[in-house]
Amino acid sequence: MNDPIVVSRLLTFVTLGFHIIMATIGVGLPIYISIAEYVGIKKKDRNYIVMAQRWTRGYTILVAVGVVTGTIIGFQLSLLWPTFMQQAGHVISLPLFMETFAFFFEAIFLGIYLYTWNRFRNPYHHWLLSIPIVLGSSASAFFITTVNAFMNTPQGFDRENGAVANVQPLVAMFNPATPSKLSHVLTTAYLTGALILAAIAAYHLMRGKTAVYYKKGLHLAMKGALVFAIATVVNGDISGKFLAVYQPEKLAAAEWHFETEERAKLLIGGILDPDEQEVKFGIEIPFALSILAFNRPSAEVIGLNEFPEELWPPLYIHYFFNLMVFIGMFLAAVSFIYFICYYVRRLQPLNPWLLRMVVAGAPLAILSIESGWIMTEVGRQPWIIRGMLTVSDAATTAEHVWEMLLLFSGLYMALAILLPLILIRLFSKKNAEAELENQGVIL
Amino acid sequence: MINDFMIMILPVFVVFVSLGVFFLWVIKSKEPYEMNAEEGKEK
Repeated sequence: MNDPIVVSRLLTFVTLGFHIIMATIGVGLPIYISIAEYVGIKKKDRNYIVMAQRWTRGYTILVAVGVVTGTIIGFQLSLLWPTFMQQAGHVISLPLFMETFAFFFEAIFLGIYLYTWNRFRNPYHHWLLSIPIVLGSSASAFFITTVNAFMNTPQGFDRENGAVANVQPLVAMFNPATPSKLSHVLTTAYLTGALILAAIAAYHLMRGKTAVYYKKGLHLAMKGALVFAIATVVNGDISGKFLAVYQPEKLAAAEWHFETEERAKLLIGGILDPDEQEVKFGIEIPFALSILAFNRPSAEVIGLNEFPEELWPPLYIHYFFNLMVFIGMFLAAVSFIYFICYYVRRLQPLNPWLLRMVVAGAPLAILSIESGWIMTEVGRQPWIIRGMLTVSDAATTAEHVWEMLLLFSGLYMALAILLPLILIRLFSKKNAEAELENQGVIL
Repeated sequence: MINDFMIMILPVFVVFVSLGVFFLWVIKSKEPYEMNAEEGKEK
């Protein structure tokens, strides 16, 4: 356990696994805050204004925690992965710097937005302040995703005597992995944001709250959930096509697809016998992998046996891939059922069973984000930069990383306990009904 | 060719189109739960 490579990976896993929750919510929430305020002003409905104000307060706390974990990641990149930064730092310093700039842009306008409610004669002027927050948070996701995309399909530099030369930062940023990864990151963040807001409203409705505030909040968030769930399904298909062309070993490992063949089948679940390369108890869908990869049932999909075994990603990513897809499908189904129940008059969209599923949607969305992230990061193994630098060559050789792992794990556990407590206390101390009454709304 | 389009161009459209659809759906649709929709409206 004292192997610096293993411990460095563990520490990075713990840090990013915690940070990704804050980052996803931080990217996902601003569009709902902005649109709630806009609708509130346009329809002269204080419910939406209170919604935007309360969501902003929760969002600000999550951003504050995200700053802590984001800063830690910045340090860990240099301290735990010095060779990675030494080699790739020349190439990807632009998006890393721009990510920080985008974050500051978002944070500055968030501060102004937070403290200028009711300070403008024209309320649309205050709403305009939410636009830089939306742009800043999504731009932040864009820049950091280009760095991750670069690690999967590196380009924009030459190798001369083992050193990186002729760097073209924009070519490195706009590599083949960028569009599909960015699109997937953004739409899943918007989907997760929607489901968290919907789950909070559904929880209050389940507990017998009757204010129309919760119903409107739920409805607004479920619209986002349905639109971005469909977008995520489309993006998932695009990601499959990207992998088939640019990272066939990752797709093959995720699908336990060993032999290159036409009319390849998609595998769900199962137990693998790695020696015999046989799967038991799995569900096979004929032609589906060929369609996922190339849109044609007869298309040839490259199998793992085309690659040296030492370059295979760990095969357990199959389960994370399955989990991500299943949860994504479940979330799309829940939002679809909600609108069927809403538009078909005889059905009840606020029935307890559907509300329970909406509440379950929030933690499941986060679980899906974590699964997708594990699948894509572990699926790149053994490389940290595909085809250029392995994880084992990039890690620090320093001792005492183990103690750092304990220290930071303790910090994240403390944050994981404190953060929900602070949010619950903040919102229960001043509930929505009290705020609506303060604003002159008769309940 | 189709795959190149799907990998490099389509993802960008998916983000903008979904944002546009969401925005228009929220802005243009009738206010939900009309039974108590008047609650909260400014007089």
